[in-house]
Amino acid sequence: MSVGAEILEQDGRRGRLGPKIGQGGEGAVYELEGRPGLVGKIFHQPLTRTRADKIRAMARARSPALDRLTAWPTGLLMAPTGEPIGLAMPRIEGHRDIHQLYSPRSRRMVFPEADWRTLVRVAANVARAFATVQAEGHVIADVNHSSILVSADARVKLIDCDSFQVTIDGVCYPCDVGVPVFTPPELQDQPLTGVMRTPNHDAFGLAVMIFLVLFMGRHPYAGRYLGDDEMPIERAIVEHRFAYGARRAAFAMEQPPATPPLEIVSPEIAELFERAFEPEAMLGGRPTAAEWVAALATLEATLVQCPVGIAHWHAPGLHECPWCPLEAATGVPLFAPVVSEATASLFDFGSFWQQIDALEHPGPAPEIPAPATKPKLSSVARRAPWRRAWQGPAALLVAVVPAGMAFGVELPLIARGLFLLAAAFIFFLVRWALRGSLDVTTFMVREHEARKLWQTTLAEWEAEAGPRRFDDKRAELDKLRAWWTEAAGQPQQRLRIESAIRRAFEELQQIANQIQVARSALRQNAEEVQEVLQQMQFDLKTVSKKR
Amino acid sequence: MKCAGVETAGGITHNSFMDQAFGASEFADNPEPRCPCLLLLDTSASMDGPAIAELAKGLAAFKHELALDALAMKRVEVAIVSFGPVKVVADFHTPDRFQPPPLAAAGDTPMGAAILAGLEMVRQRKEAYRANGISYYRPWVFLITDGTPTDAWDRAAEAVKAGEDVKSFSFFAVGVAEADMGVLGKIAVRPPLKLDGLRFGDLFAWLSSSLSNLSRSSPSRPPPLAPTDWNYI
Ligand SMILES: Nc1ncnc2c1ncn2[C@@H]1O[C@H](COP(=O)(O)OP(=O)(O)OP(=O)(O)O)[C@@H](O)[C@H]1O
Repeated sequence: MSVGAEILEQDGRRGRLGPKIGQGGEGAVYELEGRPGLVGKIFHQPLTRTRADKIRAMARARSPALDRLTAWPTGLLMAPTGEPIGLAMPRIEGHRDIHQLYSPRSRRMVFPEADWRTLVRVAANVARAFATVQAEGHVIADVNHSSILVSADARVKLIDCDSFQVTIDGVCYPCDVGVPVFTPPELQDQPLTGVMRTPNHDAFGLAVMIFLVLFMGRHPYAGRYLGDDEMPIERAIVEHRFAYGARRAAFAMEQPPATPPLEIVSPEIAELFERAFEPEAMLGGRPTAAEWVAALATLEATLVQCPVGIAHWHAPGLHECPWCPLEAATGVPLFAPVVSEATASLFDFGSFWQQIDALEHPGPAPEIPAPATKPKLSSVARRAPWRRAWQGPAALLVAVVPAGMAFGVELPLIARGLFLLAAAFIFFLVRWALRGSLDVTTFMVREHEARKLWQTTLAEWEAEAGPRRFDDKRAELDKLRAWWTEAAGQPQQRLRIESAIRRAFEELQQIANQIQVARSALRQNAEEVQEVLQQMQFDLKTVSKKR
Repeated sequence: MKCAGVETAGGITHNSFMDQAFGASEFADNPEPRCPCLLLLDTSASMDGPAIAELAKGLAAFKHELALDALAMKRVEVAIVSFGPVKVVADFHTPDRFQPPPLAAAGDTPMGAAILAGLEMVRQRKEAYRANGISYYRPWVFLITDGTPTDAWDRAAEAVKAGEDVKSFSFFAVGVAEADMGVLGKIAVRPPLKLDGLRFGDLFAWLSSSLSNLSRSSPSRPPPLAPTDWNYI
């Protein structure tokens, strides 16, 4: 299955796959031609019957609440033969993987406007999405870093819903997979096939996810282990070594350097983390999604803004901002310079622009070097003058036989005439055959074609490997900058321009990257085309000289 | 500003974010699990000419292919040791910060020393991960050579075997042109690969896509590296 392939929707509507927009371990996601709101996921493996039944049942169990927070399947997709091959679902746009938000480095690029308040809200929205799915009797089961998408305004969507464990009309369709670092201790180290998953299992993955979001991308079990042996996260989970917990010393764990203590998230939330990760929680009692929603909403409502760092919101009642000393100790800006309406004038335009200026210009497309080896005359060209010189004599030689017959032997006049005619015919035939491809025009045509190919190749090279797209985007940025300057005193306007600038900067970086890729990908072909052209030109020159 | 860690007896750590460890800034900026990949590149005199040029081209493409994958961009780390003579030309960096270095071919082929130096770098990198609470995948070490070692390589071979036995890294040997495949077979535990011609581009394309796949998996459960894949390049 690939772009352009014919497909059948569940209701019999015929369609085609459009461009591919995503790729996962189990399937690839395509646009569906003529169905703008939908995309199709086509699985790499043939769909089992239960899998197909699950998708049909899920499509039946759609609800407005689910549609708001997830990419819930809308129906089965089939090959024209009727064989099930995938599913249709609403297209999610304007969202990025949650891991792009929680790691500081990617957050500064991809979510430049996110401050810690945004992170608290996203955490609450993740919990809300979990609560919604569970309220309908399902379990997320395969919680992971690329199945939650986030928008710039902190909205959350769950994707990969077909891997949920769903219960519909009394039938439970299980989930057989899980990502180990989000899997609770009681399910570690065992095949997940056929295992009944529960909201208490989800509660572990949810707590890990919320921890990642609130604690700058740190995993709760990735600590400094005081033993000598290796302590991968999965083992730490099994052994309950929560690196930030009150009991961490008893578990031979320390927090990693350059991380804030658990208390910074408010005593109430710290308590939820402790409950989610304690050994007793294997039997039940991890904080539910609803508990997280309530606690995070309270935290958000009581956040205090640090007077020094505008992005440094934090829980009330701390004796200092947790983010200032962390940034000072590591030199790492945890957030991009924040633009909020009130603080728009504080956006450090100059330093942001320095980043843009620092992006290296790709320079002109590198010259395709002339082939190192001097062309040698091709065999056709080498034979050409020789054949031209010899075609007459050779034809004469061959024609001599029938001509000789005509005169040498005693024959009726008519036969002599026929022989003579044959001799003439053979003479011209041989000459014509020998001339074959030696005509200079043949070489001219070949050279012309090679030159045309070279010109298109060169144009493609210039377009893909040259700096034009970079320059265009750069010019766009300069224009935006001019607008920004003009918009002094109009904070709303400036805000809009600033986010356009950030977007354009991200695109500029992508373009720079694509140019580099094109340079390595297209070069060999261009070199080959050039070599062929040189050969053709050399042949032509030689052949026309020797005429 | 650097503050020493304030640790008291009894294992209680105060103010752990003031506690500096080597690389703390880098890991605070990007705490994702790491897939380290070390390239041991033969830059002895025999690589001069098209071979070294192709190798450099392959490396540049390698960086850019990795940089197209958002997760690999944060998780894969590349380091390079060249030999002829042994030199660390790039320490471990994620693709966005890895600059393919200029390579020059000269000298003989001290492969044994290069392997030992490289394995030491890998060991130190793992130390830094551990000290900073960063989880990691089993490191990959790639030896790429077109010759025969000109130094003693038996200690290197032992170190490779010992490391593979305790799964502390995976070691792959790739022979180009006149490489002594017999010796490579004795150094690496896995069967060495003979690269067809100078197809470094294909080799690095395979490597970047394998690393992308790896970085999407879980550190302790990497996808199996199909030997067919490996022989296919
Ligand atoms: N509804 C959607 N709208 C837009 N893009 C989507 C949608 N669903 C998935 N994608 C894109 O396709 C990619 C793969 O999707 P998904 O994670 O569902 O595939 P998968 O093969 O089931 O993944 P996994 O490896 O987690 O099993 C996603 O990372 C995302 O970029």
